[in-house]
Amino acid sequence: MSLTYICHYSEIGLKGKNRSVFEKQLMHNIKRALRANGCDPLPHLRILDKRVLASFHQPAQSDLIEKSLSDVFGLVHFAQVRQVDNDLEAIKEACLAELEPLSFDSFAIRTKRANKRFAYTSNDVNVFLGAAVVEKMNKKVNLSAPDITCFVEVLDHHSFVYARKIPGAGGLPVGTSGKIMALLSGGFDSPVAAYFALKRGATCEFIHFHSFPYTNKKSQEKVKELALQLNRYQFNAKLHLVPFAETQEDIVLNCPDSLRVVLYRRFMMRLAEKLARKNKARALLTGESLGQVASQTLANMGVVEAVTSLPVLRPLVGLDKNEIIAKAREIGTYDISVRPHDDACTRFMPKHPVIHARLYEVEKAEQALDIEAMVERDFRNIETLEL
Amino acid sequence: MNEKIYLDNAATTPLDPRVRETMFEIYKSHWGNPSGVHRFSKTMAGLLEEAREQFAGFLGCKPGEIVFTGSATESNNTVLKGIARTLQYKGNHIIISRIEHPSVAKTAGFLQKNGFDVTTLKADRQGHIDLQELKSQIRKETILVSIIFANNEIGTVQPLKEIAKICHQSGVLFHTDAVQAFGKRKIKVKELGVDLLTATAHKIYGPVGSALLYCNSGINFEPLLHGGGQEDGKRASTENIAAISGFARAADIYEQERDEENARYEKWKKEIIRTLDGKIPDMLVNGDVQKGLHNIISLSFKGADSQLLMMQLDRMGFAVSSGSACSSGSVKPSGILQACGIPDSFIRGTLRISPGRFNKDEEIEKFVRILPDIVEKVRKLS
Repeated sequence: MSLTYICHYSEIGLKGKNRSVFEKQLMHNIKRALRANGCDPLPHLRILDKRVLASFHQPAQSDLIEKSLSDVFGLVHFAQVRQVDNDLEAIKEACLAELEPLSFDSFAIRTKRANKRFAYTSNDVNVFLGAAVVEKMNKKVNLSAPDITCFVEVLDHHSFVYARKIPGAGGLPVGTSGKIMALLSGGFDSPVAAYFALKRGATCEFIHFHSFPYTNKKSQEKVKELALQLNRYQFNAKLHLVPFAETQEDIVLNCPDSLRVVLYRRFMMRLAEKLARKNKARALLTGESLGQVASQTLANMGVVEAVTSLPVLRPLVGLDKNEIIAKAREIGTYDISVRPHDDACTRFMPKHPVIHARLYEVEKAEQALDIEAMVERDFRNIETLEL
Repeated sequence: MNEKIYLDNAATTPLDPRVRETMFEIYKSHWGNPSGVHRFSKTMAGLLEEAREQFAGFLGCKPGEIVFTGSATESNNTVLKGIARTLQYKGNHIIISRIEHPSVAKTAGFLQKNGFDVTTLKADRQGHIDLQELKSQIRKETILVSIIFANNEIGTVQPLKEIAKICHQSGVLFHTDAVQAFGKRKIKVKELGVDLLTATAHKIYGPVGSALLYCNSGINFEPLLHGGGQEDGKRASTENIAAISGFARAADIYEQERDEENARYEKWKKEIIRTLDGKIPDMLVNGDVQKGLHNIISLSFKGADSQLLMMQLDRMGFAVSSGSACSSGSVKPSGILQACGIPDSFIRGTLRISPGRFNKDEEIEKFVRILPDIVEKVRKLS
């Protein structure tokens, strides 16, 4: 027995000349998602009138397929379908068979007729099938709020019938929006921020700054797990681990204590930008949310951002902490982030961090540092993991 | 920066080459489980008993009163938990002080959670306990008093003889953690009157992982480690002969060189305090400077973050430690300095400087020379 899935994408249908690029990437991503979940052999995929049609010629588990497809950005929804010839009787049989195992009181039939040569209009089909279901199954038609909707799509050579439509992850296919260097801390926010970038079609490389030996290796292991968790949306990410303790020492030993956090972040930005340019990433991404902590004021964000000319994306800017946590639970990063770890040993934390840093003050404080040499040193010591 | 100057000998000492030689000889030529009957075992058992006799000589006790353990922490746990359990029928009250090492303080805390009553004696500005308080706190349920011989952060030495006398008048056992004092002070347990004493090798240029417990022959207790009945049933585990012999060799060296070495420490201590006293304002010298251990110098600099001082010194090649520990992400001020009533603004800027056998005059001079500038710089940043 073979299984067929129809996968719908919406936005990429609007992309004009680039559409084929998006479609190719989408099909590629669907295959990778299936492969990553152990689906073997992979299905035959083809584009059919703004849908991806996936035909599994070997028996395959629908659970596995549906789990895989729900992680693929770019899909609005998908469904396992019954494929029949463009024949009204055959469509009727498929419709009854589709609805038969489901429990419901009211229903609707919604037909889309992409093939205008088909002898019946969409409405004809709706009426005909509706009558058949009422007669055979003794159910009520309800067009405004049905318990269940049976979809019929009439294409050039076949028709597809399905009643169990599964919502997709939305967004755009990963790999169609360019590459981002995402700062990953081990906390709740940054993985969620990266998720939003992936959702909009970006690929992410992850960069993590650690204070080893002041902190133990646990934070690095945690970040690796977070990156792996996010990797199911993109499959081949890189994680860059930057030893940051020496730079923190330099800052702590040479600059006023209230400016420490802002200075750390400026160095993180410098290093992230340098790596981004080398690896052809076009933006940086952080998990900052406006006003969440003292370092996340507009003044401090501005002072930090001043060291880079790449766009700094902050997708969480509009989210409250509880919304971020809810999203983290949904995407499976919460359970990893929640585990305790030494973030940066508090010996590096100031007693009273500045809330509204001024650029000239910060730049003056940095005169005590050999910025270029510090960045060079840390850059040389970056360790990269291929996930 | 290429120069590395180690001034953290109260934390752990480097291995003396002579100790290393003793251990290496054993590792090279001897093996065998000392509990066996064949000649390999007999050789090892011979080395073990030789070391035991040496320690009996140093401490003025019988060889059978020496129990070898794996660490001072183990010795202290053995005493507190073992005595508590064994003498529970007599009473459930234990007395310690606010200036104990965590291996005593935390173990007492554990016992407290398990139904024992623990009294913690206060300390004065120099870190001495109050003998009158001790006297008044002993009651008929008291089974053990454990007071540190010389404190590890400030070097203050307690009046052990007087403490022992007070304990024995009430029939209470007296244990002392002598980790810092052993070697540096001549210790005769019978003269001092202590019933139990902890000492370790890695503070006297011996190996890490070798320690002992002196236990007056009349005392029995439930062991911490159960097993093969080694060490007269007081500590099961195959004995680490090379480490034990190394420990004995290290103690033996101190018997020979104690006075000469202490004289050097005293000279350095005076030099450090005298020089810095005029140069660094708002500095406190902690502990009992006259009568305490001379190799532990505790200085507090008001308003200077000790973490920064240590980092800065490390960059200049100097290894010292601070009066606080950065554990699991939080810097906690030293409880010992708090017990002495040192203000928090000073405690946060505390350094413990502990010179050792292999330091040279020039190193101490260099340290004293650079420290004022470092303190000034760090104060500006803190």
